[in-house]
Amino acid sequence: MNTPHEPLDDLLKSDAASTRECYIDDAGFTARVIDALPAGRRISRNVRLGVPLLFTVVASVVVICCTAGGTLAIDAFMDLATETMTANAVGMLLVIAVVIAVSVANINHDA
Amino acid sequence: MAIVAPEKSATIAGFADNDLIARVMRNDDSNAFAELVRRHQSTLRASLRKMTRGHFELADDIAQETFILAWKNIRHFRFEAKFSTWLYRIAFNAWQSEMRKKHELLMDDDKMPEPEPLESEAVHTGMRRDLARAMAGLTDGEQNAILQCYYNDLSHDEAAYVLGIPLGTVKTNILKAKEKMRAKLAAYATETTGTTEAGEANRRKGTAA
Repeated sequence: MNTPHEPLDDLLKSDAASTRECYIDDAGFTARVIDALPAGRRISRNVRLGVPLLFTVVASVVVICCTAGGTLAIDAFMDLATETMTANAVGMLLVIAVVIAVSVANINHDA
Repeated sequence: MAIVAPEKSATIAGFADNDLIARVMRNDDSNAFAELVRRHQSTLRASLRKMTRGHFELADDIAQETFILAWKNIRHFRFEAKFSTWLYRIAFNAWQSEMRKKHELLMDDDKMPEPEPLESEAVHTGMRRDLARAMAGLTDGEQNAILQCYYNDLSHDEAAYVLGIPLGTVKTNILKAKEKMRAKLAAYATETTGTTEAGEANRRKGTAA
């Protein structure tokens, strides 16, 4: 490689070239590799994708149960829509921030 | 895991490596991965056969382990290196850990390591056989540097990445390896010439008698 016309260099290059030209037949090798691949990754990925969905459902149930049938949540949205900073509105902003943070963390983990 | 349906395999055969890798990353596409294995198995197995100094079975086991590790870690592939170079790096690490295990076993059994068999002598003739003999006398570091730069056709930089050593060490190992090989090849040439001359002398003696 350093000196272009060195006999050892030429010998190594020609031996390497003939080794590369000599194709090793697959003979079931690829099938063996594919059979041996672990199947766990797809499952764990699905589980990871399901986590935010589950989190959202549970959070919705909690909000409905703890806010007198959801009226407090509706009030909070109304306050936010009219830009009135009540305790409800601040609480709702915090909940939204947490949901966004969890979702972003999941997306980054997947990528 | 099921192997590729023929028509699907024909469709993905035209894809570039990077497209196939993207499909594996996105959808865990085992058909795309099978195509990558099919494309790279020959060169990788050939390289490992050299690294294991002719142990074909061991080489194939390490090659299989390499592809499984590639599948598990494909999300870490950054498209900065060629896929083949990345595979060589995984293969080298797998080979190293295999050698470590082997060494530990030998130490446990308190046995002396036996010399590794050379590649089938039948496929080598003349200078090729001498070259194989000369390479067998190199240290693992020297042999691996030669293997990556000549047989795997990598640049010194790529070889340093594959072997996980500084660029300077790769260059030093190549220089040392070539120095040793030059000396050995010269010695073999003298041996051959000596044998030929002795044979010639004996023949002449026989004719005279």
